[in-house]
Amino acid sequence: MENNKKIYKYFCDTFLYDAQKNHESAINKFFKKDAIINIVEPINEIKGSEELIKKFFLPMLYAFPDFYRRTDILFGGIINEEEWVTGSGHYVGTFAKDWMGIPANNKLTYLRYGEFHRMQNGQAVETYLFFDLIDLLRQIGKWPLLTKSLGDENFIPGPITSDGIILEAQNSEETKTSLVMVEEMLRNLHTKEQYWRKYWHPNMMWYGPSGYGSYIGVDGFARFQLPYESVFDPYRKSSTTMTCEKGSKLDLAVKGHFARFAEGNFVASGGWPSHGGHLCKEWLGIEAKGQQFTCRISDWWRRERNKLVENWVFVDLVDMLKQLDYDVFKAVDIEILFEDN
Amino acid sequence: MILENKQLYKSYLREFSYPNETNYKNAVRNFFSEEASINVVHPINKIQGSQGYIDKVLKPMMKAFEGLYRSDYIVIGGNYEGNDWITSTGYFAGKMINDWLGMRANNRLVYIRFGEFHRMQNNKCVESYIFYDLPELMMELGIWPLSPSPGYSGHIPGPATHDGLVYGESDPIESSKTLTIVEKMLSKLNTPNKEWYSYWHENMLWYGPAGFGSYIGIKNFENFQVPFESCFQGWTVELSDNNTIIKDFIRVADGNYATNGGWLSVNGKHVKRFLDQEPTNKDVSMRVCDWWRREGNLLVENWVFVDVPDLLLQIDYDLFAKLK
Repeated sequence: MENNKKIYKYFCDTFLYDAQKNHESAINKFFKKDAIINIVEPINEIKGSEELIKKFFLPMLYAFPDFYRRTDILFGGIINEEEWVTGSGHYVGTFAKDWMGIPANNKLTYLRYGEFHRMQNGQAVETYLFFDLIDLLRQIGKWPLLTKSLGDENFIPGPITSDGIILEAQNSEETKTSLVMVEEMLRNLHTKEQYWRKYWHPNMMWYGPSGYGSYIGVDGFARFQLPYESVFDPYRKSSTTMTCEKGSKLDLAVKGHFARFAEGNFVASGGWPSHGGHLCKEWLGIEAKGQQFTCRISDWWRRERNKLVENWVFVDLVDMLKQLDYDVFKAVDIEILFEDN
Repeated sequence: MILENKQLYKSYLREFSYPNETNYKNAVRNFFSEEASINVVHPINKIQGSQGYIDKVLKPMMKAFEGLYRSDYIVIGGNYEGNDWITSTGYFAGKMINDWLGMRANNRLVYIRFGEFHRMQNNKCVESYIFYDLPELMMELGIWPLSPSPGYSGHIPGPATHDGLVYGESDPIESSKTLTIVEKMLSKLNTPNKEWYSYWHENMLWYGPAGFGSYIGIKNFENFQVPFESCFQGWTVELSDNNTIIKDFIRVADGNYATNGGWLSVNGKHVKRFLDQEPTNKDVSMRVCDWWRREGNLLVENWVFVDVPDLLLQIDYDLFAKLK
């Protein structure tokens, strides 16, 4: 495990300043030749390191020539005998040229990322890459949603404690406490009595994807979470609860989480997609007509003693809205283009 | 002494992680002397003593921002000309539920960027300089009355390496290396051959105050900095022997980090349009401060504050009056 983290940290750090020079060899080294790489909409699936370079990194590095990678969270864990590493932070660079048809603003721009890599023999074989493209559109002055954000829209900072990069082995009791706390909290979401509240520090921070926004305080979070919980009927939520029929289209579409693990005070979880339902109430300005949709999602939590205090969240809202017949890019007159650069 | 001061500061900061009435007030009384001279950016300006700081700064903040806490991402200390200093920078966060300094509450999570310098004597802080980036908050609230900044203006992250909390003792050789590079770089600003270039990583990050913006890469930084400097004729940073220049109050390094602060340390005559203001030909002095991070032989990150509202006031633009 410590070795995987070292390999991953090394990969991250080659992008620290000199991404142009080093990215190719770093990617070829880190990803297995035939790794399955899942990336948020509109990219979706990429096969292997070579395609990742050609289809993803080269166009990105062309658009952001001075790319600089900042890691805020990095740790690893084992679930079902699978070894995983995860990371979150931002790419920062001058958005100098259009990227996938998204128009450049020629200013310093932050692109928030979250990643999960399943490791085998020191290489990534299965990967999930989250980018907050709505946050990018926000920064270039093209808000693409029908509604204003429900929370604060801003750069999302790393852990308050600056201790999210975990390279040393952690106390296994602490790790277990963190994981159990998150799993119990998750089980108590969507309960009438809101039992999930007691797992959170009253002054917790919830850093949501652009569109949902960020909140301070458990009441602030509840103002997002409670309406959100009420838009699905029938639903299937991760591996815990469902009101849809077993074996139904929705049940089969939702896969629950691909990984969930803790290390020290931190916990990570991701699902591709993790939950879904039929839209039964207006959400993000979309009229409810019982449309089926699923959500690709990832989370990182930080625990302090007996409470969860910070939670970083990605939801692939572009993918979710596409299923609800709303094209985020078209809404701001962007036609997505994939060009070889 | 420096280590002891760092520990005092650490316990002080701990009380602001989730502050409540009792603990933050006690922490302030323990940390600041009753007579401390506390200087805060415009429109707060001068405050006397720990009680003044509680009454005039923190109480109104606690009232305006529900759940207010602070997160420091750089903490360093050092001795400058015989004085012990401790300094930090980071963000306050809270839900803005009441107006503050004339800024209307938006009932949402907001962030307030801060930078602080404290001179320590006999385990107490006796002199402070406190910067808040109030224009950044105005932009976040959507009430910034001037043109948008030419660069990125928004939340500014901490060190890419997350090692800015230097509570331990640094290798004096590393510290001295950092200080030398910073001083050399400063002395080469404004030189015809851009000699300051050689002290920076080509892909450096410059985190400027809101209104100026953030830039990545030395060329982009230069494209901002050179026109900015040209707005103020005779631009001088304290360093020369010229007696008219008011000295910095601090310049120290601690490991890979260095800092510099002047409460009126950059001077010039306002001769070109600056932040929408036509030239006034007035002589201005700026309240400024910096933190730098060095890697190897190069500076890679630079966090900067300028008291922009105070500077604007000197050229006859009262930012806070425009909010009414």
